[in-house]
Amino acid sequence: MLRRAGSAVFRLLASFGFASIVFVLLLLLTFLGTLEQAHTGLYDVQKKYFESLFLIHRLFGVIPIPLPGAYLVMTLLFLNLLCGGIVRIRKTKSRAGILLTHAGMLFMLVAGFVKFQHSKDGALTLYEGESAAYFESWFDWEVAVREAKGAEETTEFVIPVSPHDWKRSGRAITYRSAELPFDLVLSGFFRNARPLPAAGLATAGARVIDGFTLEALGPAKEAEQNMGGTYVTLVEKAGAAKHDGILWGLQQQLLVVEVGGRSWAVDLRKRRWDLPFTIVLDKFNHEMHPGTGIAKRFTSDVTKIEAGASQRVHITMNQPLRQEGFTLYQSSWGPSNARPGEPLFSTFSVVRNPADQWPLYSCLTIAAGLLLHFVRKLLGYLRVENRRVRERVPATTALPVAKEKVG
Amino acid sequence: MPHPFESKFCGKPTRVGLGATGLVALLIAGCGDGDGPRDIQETRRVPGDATDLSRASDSAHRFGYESQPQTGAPQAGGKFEWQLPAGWRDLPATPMRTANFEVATDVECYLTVLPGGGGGLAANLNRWRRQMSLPPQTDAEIEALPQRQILGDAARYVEYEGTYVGMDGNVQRPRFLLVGIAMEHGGQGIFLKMVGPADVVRGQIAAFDALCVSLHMSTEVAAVHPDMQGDGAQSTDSRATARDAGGVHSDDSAGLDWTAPPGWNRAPASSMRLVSFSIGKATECYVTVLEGAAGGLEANVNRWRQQMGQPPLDAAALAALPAVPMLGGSGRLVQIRGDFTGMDGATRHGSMLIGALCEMGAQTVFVKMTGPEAEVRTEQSRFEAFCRSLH
Repeated sequence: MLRRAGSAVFRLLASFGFASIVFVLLLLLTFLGTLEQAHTGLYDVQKKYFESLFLIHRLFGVIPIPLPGAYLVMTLLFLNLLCGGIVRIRKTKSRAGILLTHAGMLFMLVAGFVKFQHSKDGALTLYEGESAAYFESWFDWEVAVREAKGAEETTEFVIPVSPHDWKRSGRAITYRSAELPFDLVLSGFFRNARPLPAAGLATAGARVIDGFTLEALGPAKEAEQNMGGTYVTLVEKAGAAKHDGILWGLQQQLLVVEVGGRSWAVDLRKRRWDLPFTIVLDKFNHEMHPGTGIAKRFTSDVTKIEAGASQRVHITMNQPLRQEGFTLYQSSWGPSNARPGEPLFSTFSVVRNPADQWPLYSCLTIAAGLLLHFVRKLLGYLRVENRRVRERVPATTALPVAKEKVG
Repeated sequence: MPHPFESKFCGKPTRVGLGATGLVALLIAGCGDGDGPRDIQETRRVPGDATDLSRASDSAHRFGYESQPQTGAPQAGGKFEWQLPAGWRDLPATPMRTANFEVATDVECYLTVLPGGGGGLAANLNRWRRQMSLPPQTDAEIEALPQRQILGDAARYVEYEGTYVGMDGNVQRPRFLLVGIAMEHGGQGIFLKMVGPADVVRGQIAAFDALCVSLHMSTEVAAVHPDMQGDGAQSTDSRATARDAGGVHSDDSAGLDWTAPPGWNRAPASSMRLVSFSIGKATECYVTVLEGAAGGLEANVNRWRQQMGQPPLDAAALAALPAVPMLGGSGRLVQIRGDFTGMDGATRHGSMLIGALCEMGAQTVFVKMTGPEAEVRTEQSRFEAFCRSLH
């Protein structure tokens, strides 16, 4: 029975009809996702249509239509290519190009999967003279706790807050560490929120801490503009005393709580990832289109410091810095309201993608496969034509001679 | 020759296959995390922070709600009072702006009070949206906007991001953000608006909220006299009204700023006129501020022409009206000769009317001079200078 089912699944996955359905679904998802992007922004559309297993598309904004997400569809496409295009296809010399092409396509899907699962995407913003050895996520948040020891180096405890957590607004999650004298309870995750004074502005029933409450806002169209917020409670391990506070992504000062005679600082900020080197912004250069505030060209001169060695690098929009799997592109600059002569910052888009160059290799593989196949086809065609010409020439030249003989 | 897919890469889907595939897909989808306590697994060594964190700050400081303990000065807001957010600067009020603030470079914030609701929330919010190059919102969308409790009434809170084109559409400022409060309170439309580069404005929203919270009226006397009528509409300057109603009174500079030409004598103000001048023997000039477009250029110019016994102008003639720089923008200048029939019904033959009309988005400013033609003609250049001096 199992064998029969396995065989049936294999036949299904390897079928050309299944491939057709998968491609039609991808086409449909691309079309619907593109339309949706006009209303909800790129990030949310990517999450909903292209990084999901299933989704509900609302036709005309009303009629719910369940659809498989592109993540699932591309997984099925991978299986389809693997079963049909690699395993089941005849392994003959004439199929070598097609096999190679399918392998390239599979490699492209693998590259996408690796990027989806393991890449980090964020930004690094520096004013001239500033340096950093980390970059921050565009979209993800983290809660960071450390003891306020002044200038002394200390350990920071980091709690990543995933988009999955934002969906569970209102449900408390407890985080603990043996090294901390308290447990952290995070509740009421808001993807986009703002603190409001409870007096006058808060809605009825809202949780109020220190005269403030968090107001949930709808998601911003540009997802990086969402400002996360959450309620935090520090529960002392000794005595179970509780300290409530509000964390907000744009807070000007950290939440500081006294526990056991020690001060602890709690922050909610964009997720940080370490760089294996330090970047110092030496100089930011920008040139405007005449008479406008629109940048024509902007570049940054930076110094990369790693293991005591310094290297000067010039970064532009099309000339990124690639180092140890990280790519730093010139992304933007600001502040947008700076007067002439005021200090400017430069923002680099930072990408850590283990499969950075894989799509290139994949394309080269596909191109080689197609070239092999087409060349083989061309040679075959030329051989046939040549043979046909050879067979035809004696006949056509012989005919007049025969006529002459007859005549 | 058959296609390779046709020869080997095919097979009919079966029910068993479809069911098994669906089951696998559901199993993949069913994975998820629990809600039990979680261990903090990520730590990192960080350099110390010289910032003094030993003393906990309250939420107001942490969220930027710190404000200067400064109640609104009467000249800066008439009946309204507020607390100025830290880092903001009070600017002199204008007839259009009951309160006026400099928030940051390129970011302005101001309070406008329009009598009679100022045309309604929808009209004003959609006017803001036009300024941000956004399509209008429906009544249902406006009804669904977030609310704030300000001055004891529900106010609508908006954030509109887009390309700011200003009051008159003469600028193009992409990635601007308008944050605003719109409400009706005590028969008035109250509009508090902050606009500037989106990234800068976002950092000031907490301060804006703090300003909203602090906003109150020092007395419950309406900022606008309910009987105030002028040129078929209502004046919008609360301070002018307060002055007329015997309230807070200051000199000319407290209201609309101008430079009065020599020989122009200040006449008593009235509820319909922001300021009046008596000129020569029988000429008068006065300024009126009306809400919205006040009927528009065509209606007002032709109303003036009707007062002068002249037929209305067509669109081409209206378009050809000369411009006069005023109030930071451009007004349209009208000259009409004829027999002037004033509000009292009396007709004065051989009169002349020179008027200037400047639409400023929420309001329209009218400057009108009437009198004997010979006298008005001699004052024409001074009239234009007066218009240019308005700000």
